[in-house]
Amino acid sequence: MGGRILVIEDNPINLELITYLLKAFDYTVLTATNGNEGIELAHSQRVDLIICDVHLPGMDGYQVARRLKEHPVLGNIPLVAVTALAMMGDREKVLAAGFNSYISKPIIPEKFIKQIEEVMRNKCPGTSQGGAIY
Amino acid sequence: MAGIKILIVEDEGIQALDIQHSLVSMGYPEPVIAFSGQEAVEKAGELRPDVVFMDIMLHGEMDGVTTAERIRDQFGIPIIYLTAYANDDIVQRAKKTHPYGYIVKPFKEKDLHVAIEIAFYKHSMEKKLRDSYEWFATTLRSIGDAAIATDKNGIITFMNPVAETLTGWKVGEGLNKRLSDVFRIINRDTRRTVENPAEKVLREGAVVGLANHTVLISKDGKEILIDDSAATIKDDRGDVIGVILVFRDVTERERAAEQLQRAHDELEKRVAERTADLEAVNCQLKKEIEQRRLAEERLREKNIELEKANQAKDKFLANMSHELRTPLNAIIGFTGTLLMRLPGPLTVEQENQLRNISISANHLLLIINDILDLAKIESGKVDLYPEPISCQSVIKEIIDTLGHTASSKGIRLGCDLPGEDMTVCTDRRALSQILINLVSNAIKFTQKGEVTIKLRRYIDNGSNRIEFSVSDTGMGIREEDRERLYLAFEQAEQAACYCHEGTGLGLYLNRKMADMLGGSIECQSEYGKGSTFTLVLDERRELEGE
Repeated sequence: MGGRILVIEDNPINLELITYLLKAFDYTVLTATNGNEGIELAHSQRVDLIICDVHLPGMDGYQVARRLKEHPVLGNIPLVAVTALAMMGDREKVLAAGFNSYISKPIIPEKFIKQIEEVMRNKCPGTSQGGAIY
Repeated sequence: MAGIKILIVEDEGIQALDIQHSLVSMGYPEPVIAFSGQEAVEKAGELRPDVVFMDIMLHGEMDGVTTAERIRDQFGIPIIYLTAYANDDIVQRAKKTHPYGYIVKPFKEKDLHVAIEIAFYKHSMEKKLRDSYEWFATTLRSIGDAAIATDKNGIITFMNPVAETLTGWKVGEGLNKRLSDVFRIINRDTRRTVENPAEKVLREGAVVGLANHTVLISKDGKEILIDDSAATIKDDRGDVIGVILVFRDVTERERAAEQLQRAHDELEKRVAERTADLEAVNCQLKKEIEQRRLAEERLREKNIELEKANQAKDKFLANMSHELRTPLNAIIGFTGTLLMRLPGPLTVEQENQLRNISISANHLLLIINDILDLAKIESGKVDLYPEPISCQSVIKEIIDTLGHTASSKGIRLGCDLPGEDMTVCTDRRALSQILINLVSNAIKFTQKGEVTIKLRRYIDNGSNRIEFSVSDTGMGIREEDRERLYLAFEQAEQAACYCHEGTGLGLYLNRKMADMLGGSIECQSEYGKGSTFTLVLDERRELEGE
């Protein structure tokens, strides 16, 4: 497996959880704690997949998605929202903003890895399910 | 002179013939001769002569004066006396019979001629005058108004029948009385005597109308409201010779006018009242409209406030959801990595304890979601996003999620799915949440045995329906408790006895969400043996909120 995954997440514990989990499954993890930093990394590094929180300081996840999807190259990188916005209707809003996939927090680690693997394998937009079912 | 018929009354034949001869020679038609008073009256009645020559000294029962009186009274024929001597006594008697001439014998033919012509002329003038008077009197008698005429001294000379009726005085009584005695008038309102119009018209010489509200007091004291006028009567030289007073009973007219006035006043009063009422109503209405406007204003403000409050509530709910999920992510996530033994091997005890953490955390998540979703549904702010969803995959995810919870209680969580893939068009999250609630309830209330999820499609009333059913082998629900199943915050009594955790929101929320999806939830249960909850959805149908 393996691959380079950029994780944009401002909560350090959640960032640690995702990073730990991905590394345990042999992914190379790049981290950013805000949108600008994340977009810069996406420009400067080779990235196979981007995981992005929605609630971020400054530029939020929706804006990050719009910026990335506007870019001719970066727009093709699968973009997965991992977010605690999980009320009715949130999933649809997130997908409408340009995210290729939506995983709600709390994540279920085993399932999370499977979901990431699937997105990596497809290399294309999909609508993978959330972590917990809802 | 031609055509004047003459009767000669003369008891001496020669004299009679002499007179006759003289008259014929003057050109008059041959006069008839009567030789006695009796004969004269008969002939006068029979021949109706224009003039009678009467000898005063007649033999027989009637002398000339008496005969003349009869003829004049009965036939109105002018008399000319013809006598040889005239003492004062005879002249005085003769005068009373209003003779037209008096010729003393012996006379000349010329005297006869002059006497005849004057008598004839005077008589015809008098007749004209009488006719004129009769015409005038008849006219006055026949009119509907009362008429009284007086001479220039205010003495009554004429009264018509209406005047008799109104005044109560007969003509015979009234004539020659002072007008003010017969025609007594007062002012209706002041009861004071009103100046007699005849006196006024005599003084002022013009037509005067009576003052309004004049009341005539009749002879027997009856009061009659009258209205009228008086005018002077003048002779050919323009001198006032009397007054004609015309009046009429206006009681009826006045009464009618009063009634009309009363009706009019009443009407005006009513109109005024009605207008006042309307104004009051109008005023009231204006007030109410103003109050209504203010109320609406307040309502609008209140609505805006409510809208703001609602928005604040929604934002609060979204924040709550987000903030609660963030730490749960770390708890469930790291518990998961530990259970996956990513950091290293676990003892049996460690694993069991970590599973308990995981199950509890998931349960906590369920409760949080129920509460927050309920709040959102109750505020009516739920947007549905229908999409085609694979029923089998939803069921499998539920089994993945709740499998550990079931197995930790020693319960088997299984499913019975048809081979063909079934798709339903509905809101993914709502469907998942309903099924999660049903399955976790089933696990919660089952002590041993199994929980089975079944899926089937059937046709009902020509529409395809998808049915999800969740059966358990739990305690079941008593008939009497079923009604309360879907009430918020309620758990069946026996559930409470067993001290089951839970908010009691699950089924209430399920029913709300099923309604939103246009579906239904039914429950079948046998107490002591288990329950089956069934969710039925249209395979494809337009959803509320679309």
